[in-house]
Amino acid sequence: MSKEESFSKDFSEFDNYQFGHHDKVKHIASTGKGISRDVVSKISELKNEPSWMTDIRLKAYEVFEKKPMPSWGPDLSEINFEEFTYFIRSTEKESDQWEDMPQEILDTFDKLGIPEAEKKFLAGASAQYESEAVYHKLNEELGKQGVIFLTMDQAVKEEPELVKKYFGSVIPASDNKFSALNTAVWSGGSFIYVPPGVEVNTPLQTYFRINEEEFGQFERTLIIADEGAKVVYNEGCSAPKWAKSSLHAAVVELVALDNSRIDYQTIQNWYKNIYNLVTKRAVAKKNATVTWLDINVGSRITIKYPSVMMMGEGARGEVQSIAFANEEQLQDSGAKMIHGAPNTTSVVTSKSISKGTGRSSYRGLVKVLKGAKNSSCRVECDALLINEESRTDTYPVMDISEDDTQIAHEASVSKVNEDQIFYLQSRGIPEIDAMKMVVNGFLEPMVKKLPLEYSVEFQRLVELELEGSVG
Amino acid sequence: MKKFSWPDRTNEYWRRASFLKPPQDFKISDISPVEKWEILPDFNTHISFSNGNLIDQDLKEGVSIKSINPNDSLSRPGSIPGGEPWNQWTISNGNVYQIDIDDTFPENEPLVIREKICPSGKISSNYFFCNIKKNINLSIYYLIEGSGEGFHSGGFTIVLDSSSNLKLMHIQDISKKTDARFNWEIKNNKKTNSEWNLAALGGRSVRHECRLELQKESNSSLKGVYVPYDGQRHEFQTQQDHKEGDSTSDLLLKGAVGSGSRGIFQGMINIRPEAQKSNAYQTNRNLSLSRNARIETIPGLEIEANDVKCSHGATVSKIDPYSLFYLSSRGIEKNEAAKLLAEGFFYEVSDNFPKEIRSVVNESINKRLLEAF
Repeated sequence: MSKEESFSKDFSEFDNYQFGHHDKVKHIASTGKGISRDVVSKISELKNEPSWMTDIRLKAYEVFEKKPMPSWGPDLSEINFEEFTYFIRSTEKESDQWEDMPQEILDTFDKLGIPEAEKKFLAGASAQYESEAVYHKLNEELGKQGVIFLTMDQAVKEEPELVKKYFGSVIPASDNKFSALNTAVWSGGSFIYVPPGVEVNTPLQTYFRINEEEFGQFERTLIIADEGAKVVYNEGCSAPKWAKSSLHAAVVELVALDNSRIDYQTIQNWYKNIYNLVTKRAVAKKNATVTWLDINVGSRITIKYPSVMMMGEGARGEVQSIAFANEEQLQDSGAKMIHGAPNTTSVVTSKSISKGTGRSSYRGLVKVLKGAKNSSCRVECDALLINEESRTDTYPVMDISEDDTQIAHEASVSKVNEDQIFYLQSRGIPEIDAMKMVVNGFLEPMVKKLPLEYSVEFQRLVELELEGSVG
Repeated sequence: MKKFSWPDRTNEYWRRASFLKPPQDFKISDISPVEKWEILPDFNTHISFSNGNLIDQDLKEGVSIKSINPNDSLSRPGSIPGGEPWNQWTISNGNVYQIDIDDTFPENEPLVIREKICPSGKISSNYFFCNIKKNINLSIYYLIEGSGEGFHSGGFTIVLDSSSNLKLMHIQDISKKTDARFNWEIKNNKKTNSEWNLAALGGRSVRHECRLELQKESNSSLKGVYVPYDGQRHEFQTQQDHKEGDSTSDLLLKGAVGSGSRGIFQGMINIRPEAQKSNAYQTNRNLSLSRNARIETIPGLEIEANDVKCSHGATVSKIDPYSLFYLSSRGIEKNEAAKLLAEGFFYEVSDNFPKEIRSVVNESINKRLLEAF
């Protein structure tokens, strides 16, 4: 097949989502639909967990029941917690050999290109299917240096002291309704510990796949970079095309101790029926750096504001966020920067594109606590509107209780420049290609900062999403 | 009349409000006789209010004022979300007036509306609708001053009929013991221009709700300063509501916040789907003068059309230490230097006031800056 033919084949699908296949996979265990105290205990029992974790879960379940749904932002009234299945086990045991897993699941990940990517770019990879990891492997060299890369379930058994110390220390169960839900029914996710002075420069990656409809995925990730350590972590995700919605409510906690650095990179490409309600937060101690790269292309509603709490002197936080809201999607993303110590700096750069009836919102918080002298923060948000019905909103909050600061926020909104499109057309470039070039130009300053494999993948995603935007 | 309930803290626009409803068990205050006007005492063409009541008028041809029954009035005040019950309460408890201005009003003379607020432990309240007829160039000076303790709720709706131009020079300098809530809005009809300069200086805990509504091909700007110090709390809720296209709005609010005080800005630009080819700008710049100052700034955009240019910006910083050092090295005392720099910071806004008011505004700002450090 020529390149043109394969492109037009991709585009012939009604919504261009290339990961929409569903594989029939038998479940080994499932809690069935609905949530209750019993479901929470049963998840813990199926996982053979120590009693302290069961207690954490049950306490969180009480909080979940009491907490109201968020009253601000996107409308979540269609979520019925009784309709979801909260736990599905697909394989008996996770493996460090791709060949060991059931053929259907292997096929899924093959189609997504994960085993291929692992060979080329990654120092460690994990693949989560429904509730639990089916594959997990860390580069042996790193293992020898003392790097711990486990699934969260393993970590509870193998590293209980570290888990007890840090689990819920950045995002307590009571933070919001969805963090409480996650703490009650969490399953899967990654646990990473990098010992002092060790630098992991090739990324560790986890790929999350939801295969069933009306399912809830609640992974829990905890990354600890000890003093002077460095780590890069990638996550990706996708789901089949289903008529009914699934729920993804993850909690990600990062702990960056003195002089360490954590880079966390996400491409969120869920199918357009997933509620993606994620709490992500990092603590940065003295001179530590945390960066979030947050790309949202998929999902029906995304609510996600990666945050950095800069609690040590000289800490640094950075969020780069790109959101693409296509037909009927709502991308409510942003960033939160809490300056809690002197000489802390943060940067937020956000670019969003709204197409068709899509709506993208930037919602952010910059908080400078008393005593955070000489701290500075810069927030920049740009929005691009493609069609007449497209919508974009910006809701930043700045709350400053310290005089010795430099805080700036800038936002701008514009539409695709017709003169540029006309010029490109006059040079013989079809309108749709001209549109792609203009949009890629808008994203260029950010895309060129992405790691190579991400920027290629992302440009391709944007081009797919833009199909049908002209005429 | 539609029944509203008082806003609560789940409403985004009221989360940071110091009061959600008027004080309970209130008594409406009486007219207090005005012996002396502090700001610009010598104007001829004027309308004077005391505690919400019309006490005096000296009007030329082309302008008239009458007391109206709010239920008969066709125009209802617009408000930012959650403000409706306040407006309803204000017009049913206070005095409501209608001011009409037609094209026989002399062009080069300002219309002065002045208001004294001395509620003496009680509540005063009033609202006026001002209708400016077609093809008029007009300037209004609206000067509010006051003394004593109490609570005031008031506001205006100025409606500009097509092809009119308005300059509104606006000073709010009520007593530092009075709390207040104001609802101020300008409705720009087709092909109108309005320029609104605001110095919001007085009051203890004051909530200013400012609205600009724009129809086709209209331009509207709001430039304001605030200098809360010594425990004052100044809150601004603004909305630039573009109902129709080819319209331009520009908002600039500059604040310097002193010790123990709070400055809160929450603004929203709304571009409705029909308002293609609109431009809207919103800027909030803050100087923090003290470690005990607290500044919150929440600019906002809600855009439902695609062919628009909108931007907003917000900054918070302290007085530039290098400039301060430079001025000190030239022998200017540190407090004086800081005052000069703060003055320069406000110049962008204060310079827009006409000569006779500018000196009043500058002096008031300077007095506050001296005490704020």
